[in-house]
Amino acid sequence: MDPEIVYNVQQGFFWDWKVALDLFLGGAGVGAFLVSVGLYEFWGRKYKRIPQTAAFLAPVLVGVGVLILMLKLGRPFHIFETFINFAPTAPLWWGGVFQTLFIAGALWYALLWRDLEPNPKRRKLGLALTPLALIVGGYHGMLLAVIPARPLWNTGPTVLAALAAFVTTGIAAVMLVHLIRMKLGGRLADPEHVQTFLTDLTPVRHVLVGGLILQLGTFFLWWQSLRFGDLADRTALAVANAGFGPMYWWLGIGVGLVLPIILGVAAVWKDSPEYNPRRLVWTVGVASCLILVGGFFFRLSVVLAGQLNPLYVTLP
Amino acid sequence: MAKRYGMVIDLHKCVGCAGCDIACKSENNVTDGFAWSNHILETHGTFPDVQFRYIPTLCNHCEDAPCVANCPTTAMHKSEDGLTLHDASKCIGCRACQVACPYGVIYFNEKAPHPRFMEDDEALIPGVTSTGQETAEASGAPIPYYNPARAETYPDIRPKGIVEKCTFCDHRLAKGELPACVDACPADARLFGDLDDPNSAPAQALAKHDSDVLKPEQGTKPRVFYIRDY
Repeated sequence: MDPEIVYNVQQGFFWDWKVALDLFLGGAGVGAFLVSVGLYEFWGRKYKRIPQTAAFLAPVLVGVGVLILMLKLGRPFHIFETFINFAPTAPLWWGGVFQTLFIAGALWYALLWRDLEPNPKRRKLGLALTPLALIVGGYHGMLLAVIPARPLWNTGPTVLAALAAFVTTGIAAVMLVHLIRMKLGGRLADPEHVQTFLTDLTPVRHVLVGGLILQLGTFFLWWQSLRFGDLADRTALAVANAGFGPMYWWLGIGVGLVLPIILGVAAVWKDSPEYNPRRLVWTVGVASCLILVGGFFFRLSVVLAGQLNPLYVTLP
Repeated sequence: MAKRYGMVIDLHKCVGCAGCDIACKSENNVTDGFAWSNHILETHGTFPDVQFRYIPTLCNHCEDAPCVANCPTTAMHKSEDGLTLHDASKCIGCRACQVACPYGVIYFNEKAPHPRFMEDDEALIPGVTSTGQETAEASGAPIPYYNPARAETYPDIRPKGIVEKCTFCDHRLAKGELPACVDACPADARLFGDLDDPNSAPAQALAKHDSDVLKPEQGTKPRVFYIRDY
């Protein structure tokens, strides 16, 4: 008979959907910022409207994420304690300080995008904020990965998956919001504008496909490291699968990664003999929604499942 | 010179009476459902070959405490004497310490504490029995089993929105007394003192017996040791 252990400790999830939403929005915001800087600075500075959308989206997403996280705090009005104390060993402290700096910087950067004319100040600021964006993006993976008490999170691929997720969800958020912006501005009905949008999107689409494949790879690595890890790792994986397997596999991977890849391949394949811009726009919109939905449920399932691990406390 | 406080629990002497748990609750005004001093019940085997273990638990006051490392406001901190303490005024209620602790010994006040006395304003039989609030009022304290001494180093009753945990009774240590759970143990199963002092009871017990700690693989270096496991 397996040992029966009774240990009555506080029940429930310590971190819930609000933490998952913060990780999701924070990651997508950082991704959006990098899309803005990357698309404008590293692809010949010919794209303007999409980087503009991305620039405005970045501080909003990260800011909303932080606000939602504050709702989770027991004493949200004491948040200033994070800024007046020095706690460099705590990822949350890094998150608090660097996310605040990033939001302020990204807001400034967005304001410099009010007009589409080249702006050297904007360029310098964008490049200066890029390392900060990467730190904030990394924080969203590190927050979970540095906790040995939670074997599901405490792996290297956790960080890699978070990095890949901020690339894919960031791009998806930018594409979706830009489509909505085009629709609202009446530009979606104009074939010339649609053509420009699709052309401008080409490098982003390539990065997105790379990100999706990278994300699938990191998920596989993650699964492998747990599946062939020690007893605690294997237990954590089994418990996570039993509790949140369907959410993770169907919504996180199926909806968020596999379907968008299939959609993209199908669109390119079908359109090869006869180019159909409207179908491509439709594909971009649907794929973006799927990536965002999947991205959120991936975060949610991981945050919750990581805490399911039974507190198997006993003596050796 | 700073001390290095630690505790040794002699499992052979422990009778599993949970007197430590009750003493702790009274000493520290611990609310319903929380157990700074707790215990694990472990059963192995099939009748008649059954092994039963009663393992008292409390904050391990780890040398490399993950709750301290993950606290974004330094509310969780190490004292000079190696105690893992919680500064309630700095706590923002993020629960990172709870997520990081491998031992489940940190509690979060999701609701206002002691609802049985602080919120209960309905008598079971009106006009006959007292409400919880009336009982507390009659005792002249927020709760009938209130200990004002707790307030010397930590909020007497921890409010909604923050975490709380065992402090090794730092308010008693400051007066040269032993933690309440040690004092209350009828079997003298708990030994407490300075681990760096070779003449202290826990140091001598550790020198004499092999010892274990909970979850050593976590690398937290707990300062609560278990001897004479059976």
